[in-house]
Amino acid sequence: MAVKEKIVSRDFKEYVREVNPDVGLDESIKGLTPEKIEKTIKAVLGARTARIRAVLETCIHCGLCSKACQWYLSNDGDPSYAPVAKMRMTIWEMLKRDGKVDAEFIKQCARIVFTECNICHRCSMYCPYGLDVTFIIGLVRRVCFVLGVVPQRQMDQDHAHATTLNQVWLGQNDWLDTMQWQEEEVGAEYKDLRIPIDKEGAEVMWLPLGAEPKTGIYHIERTAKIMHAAGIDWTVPGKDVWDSSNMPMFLRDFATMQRIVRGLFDNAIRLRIKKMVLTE
Amino acid sequence: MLGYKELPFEIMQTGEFYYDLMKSGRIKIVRKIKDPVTLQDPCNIIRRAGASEKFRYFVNATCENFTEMTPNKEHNFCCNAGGGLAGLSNWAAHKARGNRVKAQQIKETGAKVVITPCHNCSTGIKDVIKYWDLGVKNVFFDEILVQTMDIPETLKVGK
Amino acid sequence: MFDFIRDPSLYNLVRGPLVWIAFFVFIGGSIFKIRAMYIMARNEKAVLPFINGKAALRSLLHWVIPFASRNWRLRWPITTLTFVFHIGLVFLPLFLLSHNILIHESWGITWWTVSEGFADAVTLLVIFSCVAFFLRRVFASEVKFVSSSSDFLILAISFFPFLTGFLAFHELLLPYKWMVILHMIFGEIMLMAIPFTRLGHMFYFFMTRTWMGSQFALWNSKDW
Ligand code: HEM
Ligand code: HEM
Ligand code: SF4
Ligand code: SF4
Repeated sequence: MAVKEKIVSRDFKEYVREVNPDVGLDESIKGLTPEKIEKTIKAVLGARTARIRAVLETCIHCGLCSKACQWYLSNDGDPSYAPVAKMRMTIWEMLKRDGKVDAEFIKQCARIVFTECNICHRCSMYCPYGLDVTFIIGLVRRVCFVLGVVPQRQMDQDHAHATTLNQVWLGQNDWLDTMQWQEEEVGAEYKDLRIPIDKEGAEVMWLPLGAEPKTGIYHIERTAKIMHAAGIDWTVPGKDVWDSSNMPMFLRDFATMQRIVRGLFDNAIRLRIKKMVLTE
Repeated sequence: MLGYKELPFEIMQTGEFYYDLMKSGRIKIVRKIKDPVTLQDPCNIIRRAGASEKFRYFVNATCENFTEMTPNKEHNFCCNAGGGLAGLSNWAAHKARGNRVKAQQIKETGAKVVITPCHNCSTGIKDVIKYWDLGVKNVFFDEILVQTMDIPETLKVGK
Repeated sequence: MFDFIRDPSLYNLVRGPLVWIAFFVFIGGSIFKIRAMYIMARNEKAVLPFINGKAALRSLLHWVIPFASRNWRLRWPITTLTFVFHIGLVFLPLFLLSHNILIHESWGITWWTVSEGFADAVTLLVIFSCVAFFLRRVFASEVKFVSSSSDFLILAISFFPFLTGFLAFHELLLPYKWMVILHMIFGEIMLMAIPFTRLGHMFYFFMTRTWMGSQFALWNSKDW
């Protein structure tokens, strides 16, 4: 394997990483000003709520969460991958410097929270206090999102969600088209096989992941077979939202996130279904 | 989900739905996968929805030779594609390198197939398999079910 | 208290009014902090409705009993260390003969006490744990990376009452009286520091565990 170029963080000498170019991080920080950063940090972290305080004022810096994290274990116990270190390098520093951090620092934060933590909650299971490190990671993600510093592909998915309410820029007619095409395709093998669209009062509403109608068509084929073999009264929504993924939730883009959740629920209520089956 | 406490309908993941279908007898399993398999526990559905026993029922019913990863269930390690990292294909090496423990876990089971119930996990596991050259296959829940379930001949065209 | 008015010496100051002040600050401050956290949690609407008492209790039990949770088992050396340290720290002062004598002199009440030899041994163990924690902070990379001066400060705050208590008991280093004065000052500092530093984990522990225990119960999962 080729040896890649390494960078040593200016702020933390322990934070050494391979260079991994990403337009979303490298370019987007160019428009940031210190005032903008400070204002954003204060807006997001200003109202110190119970959940933030509980973590910040209780964490005893004991490092017992470190071995919970697969990143830490996989990188030979590199201290900068420990869950508590992810708080240390982001939120503690932001608060210590009272929001007066520069664009380079924000880029580093974005790399940590968007590419080195999976919000998997394993650290909360290993911290003796059960502190929710992921909640803090989410806040830092919010800061970075509001500043527009997000890895390009994640930001692109978020834009897709905001525009089309699915992660793959699929228009509504393409979605319907795909479903009907699959119905024909699988229906050639099985008698009376249907992919019912917008069937009111169906028992089950099935919601794929956005990528399925685009690049994972075989999942739809299999689902149709399973539903058919089991004789399920099922349906897929004919209107947005039908994609069960929610990238905006991970980026803490609350407005779009709420639109997706609302859209899914509206479909469920509209079709009076009994079960919502999500792929994600 | 997110602040909605009482809903007029149930929400479930496809894996949990398959479990219901099998338990209630609406789907019958007539074949079993012979290859040694192991299961990736998705954080979202295990740690945050407690479906671990249901998934074990599913795998034991459809596969002959199932070995657990250690640790497993709610103590399992993430696939490194969760939390919105699945889409970051330009960071794939970084993510897979950051999940050496997963590669070791898979190796230790001796399985030839890693079953994933979730698309994120599927992405993550594939990256891990490729980067660490594990020589195993990743198979999705629905594929296992389609391969092992009974599709009555009477449903097929021309029968 | 009255001794101090009759004879305002340093000894009588730390033996009298300062003890009162320390306990007042400790108890009052703790109540204030707990109340403030509760009110904040109430205002943040997504917290209190999700609290599940039974789940919280189960989670708490698994984390206050040594080796009852997976991480306590995985990290058994630290677990042993921290339980020895905390049991000594919280219970020893309560059942110490000399503390009981002081309480008896003031209010005429006493309760069960441990023997002096046992107390001495536990004190040494606590001192040893403090040193071990200190070494861990300095040498273990994951702890070192997140340590700041405040961490050493709170460790010192916990350490000195034990060190000075031990030295006083054995009449080492300084004349007994001076060492006892020092001990009392350090003891009082520790009490007053608890609500206002991260030593407040003493009560926050129960709140954060309640929250995470309830979360995991909501997720049909467990957090130990
Ligand atoms: C608040 C005021 C306090 C007062 C007035 C006080 C007073 C005393 C006195 C008079 C002794 C007797 C020394 C001897 O045996 O001759 C003593 C011993 C001791 N104190 Fe305190 N103390 C206080 C707080 C604390 C605290 C907060 C701790 C620890 C958490 C503590 C831990 C000890 C220990 C461990 C010993 C005995 C050491 C040994 O037997 O080896 N004290 N204390
Ligand atoms: C009864 C309530 C308490 C509980 C449940 C509790 C719990 C904990 C836990 C879970 C840890 C982290 C594990 C570790 O690093 O070993 C810890 C660390 C610590 N506690 Fe407590 N604690 C309590 C009371 C106290 C008190 C009264 C003090 C001192 C005044 C104290 C001083 C410390 C210190 C200094 C550490 C950090 C050790 C280090 O440097 O890593 N604790 N406590
Ligand atoms: S939530 Fe993030 S920091 Fe915590 S264990 Fe998972 S990946 Fe590591
Ligand atoms: S285990 Fe908990 S208290 Fe200890 S460093 Fe990690 S988050 Fe902080």
